[in-house]
Amino acid sequence: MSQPQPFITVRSLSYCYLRGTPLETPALRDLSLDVTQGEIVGLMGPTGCGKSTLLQHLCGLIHPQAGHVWINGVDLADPSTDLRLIRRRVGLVFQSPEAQLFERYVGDDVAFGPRNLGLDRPIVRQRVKDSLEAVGLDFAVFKDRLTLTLSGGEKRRVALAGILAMEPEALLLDEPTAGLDPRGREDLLNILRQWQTERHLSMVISSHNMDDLAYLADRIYVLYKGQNAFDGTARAVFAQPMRLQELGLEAPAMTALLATLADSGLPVPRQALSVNEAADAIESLWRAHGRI
Amino acid sequence: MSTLIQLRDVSFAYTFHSGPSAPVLQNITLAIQRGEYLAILGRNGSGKSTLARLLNGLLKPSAGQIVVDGLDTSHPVNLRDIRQRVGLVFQRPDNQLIASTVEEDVAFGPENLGIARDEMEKRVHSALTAVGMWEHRQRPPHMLSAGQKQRVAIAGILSMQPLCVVMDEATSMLDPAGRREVLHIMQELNRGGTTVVAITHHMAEAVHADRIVVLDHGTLALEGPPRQVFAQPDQLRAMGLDLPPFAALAQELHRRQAAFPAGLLTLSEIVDAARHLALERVT
Amino acid sequence: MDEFEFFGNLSLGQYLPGTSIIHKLDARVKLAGATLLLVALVISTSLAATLFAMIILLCLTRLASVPLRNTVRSLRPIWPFIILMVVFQLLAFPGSPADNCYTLWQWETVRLTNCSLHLAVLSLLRLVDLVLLINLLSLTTSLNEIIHGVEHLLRPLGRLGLPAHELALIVGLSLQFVPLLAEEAERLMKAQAARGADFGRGRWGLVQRIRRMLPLLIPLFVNSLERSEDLAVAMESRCYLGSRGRTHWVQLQGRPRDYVVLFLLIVFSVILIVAPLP
Repeated sequence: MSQPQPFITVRSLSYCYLRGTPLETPALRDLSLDVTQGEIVGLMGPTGCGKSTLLQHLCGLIHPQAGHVWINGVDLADPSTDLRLIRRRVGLVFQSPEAQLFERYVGDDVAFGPRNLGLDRPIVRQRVKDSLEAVGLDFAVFKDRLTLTLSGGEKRRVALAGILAMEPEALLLDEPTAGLDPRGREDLLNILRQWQTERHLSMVISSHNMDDLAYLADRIYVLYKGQNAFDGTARAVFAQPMRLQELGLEAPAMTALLATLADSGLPVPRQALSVNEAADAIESLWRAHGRI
Repeated sequence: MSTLIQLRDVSFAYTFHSGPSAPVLQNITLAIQRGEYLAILGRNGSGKSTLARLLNGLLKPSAGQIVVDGLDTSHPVNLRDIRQRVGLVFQRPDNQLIASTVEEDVAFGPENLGIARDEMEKRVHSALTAVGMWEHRQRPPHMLSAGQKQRVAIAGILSMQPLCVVMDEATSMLDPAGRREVLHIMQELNRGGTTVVAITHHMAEAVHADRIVVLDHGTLALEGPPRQVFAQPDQLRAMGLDLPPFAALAQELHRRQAAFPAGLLTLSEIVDAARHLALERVT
Repeated sequence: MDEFEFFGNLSLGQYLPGTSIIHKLDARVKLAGATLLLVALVISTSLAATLFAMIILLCLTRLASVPLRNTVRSLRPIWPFIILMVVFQLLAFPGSPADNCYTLWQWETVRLTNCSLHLAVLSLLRLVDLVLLINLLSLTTSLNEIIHGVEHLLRPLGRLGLPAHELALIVGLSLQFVPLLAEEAERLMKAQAARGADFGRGRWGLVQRIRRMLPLLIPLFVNSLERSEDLAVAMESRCYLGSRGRTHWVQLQGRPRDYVVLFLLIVFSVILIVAPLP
């Protein structure tokens, strides 16, 4: 069985904002990362660690200043690479994407991306239909709704549909659940999970929300001040609450609880990624002690 | 404890040229007690922010009455006094800061109240110290992090010496570290006797409240202490909300093992109960 | 990607922080004094006085530790106009023999007289002086100080109905929000670029370029409106009810040296105005 090929490869990436001016700020330092086809990679780190800058590189908005970024074999550091082609293959959903809606009607806004790709009208229409359905909005009902009259949650879905309509091969999401209420968050996480399963979309998700990443991510990279701090499978990363705390991050709730139990001398695994896992672990503990 | 803010059968709908909107709030009756820490939960669109703006007279109820410390919010002459007593901190840090330095911004409220300069200095000092931003008093706001900006916004309210601070989703745009800082300040303030009203859809923030009120489609759906409110997960989910993670775990454990106590909310409570159940000797 | 980075280079005013005596002068003195000098320079017809003013201003610029480089750089974009103006005045205002003007040089109907020479040199010196003055002011006085200074100066006019406080507030807020809106615009450009919009480098005609900016305008506009509303709500919540009854945190205190400087500036302005020719 062949190894799945990395879809995105980043090696020794460095980037400074306002380079050459007195206000020069390094954002990324010698960063490396891999994303294989169809996997979901999480990015974690305190504010200012470079997550957003990294995401902007991965979709071709920024040229690397040093190091390499390969998207499916194409090197973004090569000055002859047309970044606009990369932007079509990798979609970036910014934080609060609903703030970027600008067309009068929902259908037109979702069609903005496909139209920029130069597609024919029937194809554009089909894509708009498919992507609205994919975010759980009825095409017939929503295509002629005024964007300004949508609720916050609906706007966010429309914004997502707008990116999906470009049929990217990979999706980058910057704080996708920020500002959503619990139901909105649950719905979105389920949509993303579904897209990964059904469309084999590779995803890179940057989030402050540990529970989001615990639910979605296969692997996680923890960044600190523009550099790799550590990485591993989601499970492995969340099993190291001390390291996370040193970097100013919190351990996920269930992990913190089990770690406390384990520290008090009880034989429980030191981490769990979900409430059910934690409950399982505690139940096993009780069974082991003959309590139940 | 006496009542600081009394809402009597309050309803609210926006009025447009084309007529009133659908009602945003309906028949809300609520008594906010002096010194309490009240959490108002609700999904996006439940009317929480509208309720916040009614509490300090930014909006007037379409029906019903709101009385703040004996002052009716529908009389314009009362507004300045009401807003000095009930301060509002909003969601977006950038859009609350007015002046070009931190200390000037914190002085904005007292300036509006006509406070004399030396008294203003004392207030600015104590407000900034209470939020831990005194060392940054000369800095321009745009150079601060989001969490720091929110702390300055809180100081701007504290310098008016309010009786009550209402936080309208004030932590939703902050990262976990910023959120922790702000919550800590809120708890400190409440310990010092200030009434705190925390409006949020972040369940974990409500665990430390004295009382929780849940809004659903503009009406008061649930009310009670946290243990009581979070003992109704199905109802909460139906309203688009959820349980805080530890409460969810505690419920799951109780569901699986009746011997595990019901209604636990915090990490330490759960750890203690789990240990107890594992280790207790049957004699 | 430089495509998006120009917004970061936005700098407002040319304030260079420093500790010179000029930096420390009361903003009101600097503003009032500069205005007086400005008027005097424009009115003055004395070459000697204007030249003297230039020397004084150069000394003050050195005193303020402001590198002359900045001043020279600010003159660079307008050199062509200066030259044009000088040539124009040399040749277009010969004056008449009744004013003691005699011809120095002539070609066809165009005459260069001692009067036009005087005028041209005076205009040149005057322009240099004005640039030096404005540079000196803006490099030693922060925007914040300028706004407060203007507000304090105009406050007495409040009784005549001039909304000094409101104007200062509007200017201050606008200046504060320009960088925020620039950031927002940058974010929007990137978001639209991520959806295939092309903000490419000027290969397109003006109409095309404008059309490509349209997806930015509406969200930017909505964003500004949102911010304004949030700000208004925040201000009202902090008991803002207009300028009546407000006290002030920022209090400008005149020190003896401020009064001395103001006196000197007034004297010098008067000299400038009444000094006789040349």
